[in-house]
Amino acid sequence: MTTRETMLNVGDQLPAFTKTITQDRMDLFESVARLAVQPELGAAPAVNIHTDAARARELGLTRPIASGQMSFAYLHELLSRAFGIDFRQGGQLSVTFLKPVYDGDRVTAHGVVQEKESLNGRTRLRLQVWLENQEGIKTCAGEAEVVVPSPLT
Amino acid sequence: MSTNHGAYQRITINEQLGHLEYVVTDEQLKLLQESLEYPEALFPHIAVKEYLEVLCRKHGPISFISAKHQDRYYHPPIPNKRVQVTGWVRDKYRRRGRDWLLVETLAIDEDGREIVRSQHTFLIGGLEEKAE
Repeated sequence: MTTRETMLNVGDQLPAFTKTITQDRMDLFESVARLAVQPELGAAPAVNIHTDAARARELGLTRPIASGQMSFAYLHELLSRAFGIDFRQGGQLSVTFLKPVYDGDRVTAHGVVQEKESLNGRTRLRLQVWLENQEGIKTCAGEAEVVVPSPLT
Repeated sequence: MSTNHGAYQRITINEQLGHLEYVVTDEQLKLLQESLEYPEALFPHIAVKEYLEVLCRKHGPISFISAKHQDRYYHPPIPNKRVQVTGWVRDKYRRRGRDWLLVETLAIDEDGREIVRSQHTFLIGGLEEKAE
């Protein structure tokens, strides 16, 4: 068992970090899907609302938006950094997408412990997590749960 | 009526969606880690958008905006193992003049190891399709 996670108490915050969104990174992120489902096309990014301005306009957007899954991945990182394998094997994360994230935005990942409970020699933590952009606006928010040590490890 | 609306009308709650299989490669993991600037990113399904693949493999291309995503993690996928994804429609409803869809997926690897169970809520269409 790691000590750090179980030393967390209600109200404690996870170490925050900031990411800068760029169109290049959005394209790269989209290329992961292309490589998985159409490997014969190589790692070229898919043409969609995250990579192409015309596609974005078709959906009423002014320009490409970062995939909600990129935001989700940042919150996944926040929890992986804090809880490691205990989050990756048994953790849960639920996120609602609130505002678009664009090329050039800077988003900061936050997490705070909401509940802490001991059960059968383990500690269950429930956290609120969210991303905030450079204007202090929440772009997505949700909840996570992790049991330390994970019963799956 | 848009193509989206036609596809949405055909979808039924609890129907099984298309089957997706892919191999988690080292190249894929490297791309994921580079795009996220996080060298320990281990779950490529977050970028693969399995929920969308299983939906479109059965119903064709559908325009949507993501509203919510939920994951429960069992094990990180092992590189060079085949991942098999099964999906189901768990809910479908109209709210505030818009069509919504909830898709659940379960990913396991070729050895039967569970990787992740996900739920994704779609807003079908785009911002211009707000009607009524």
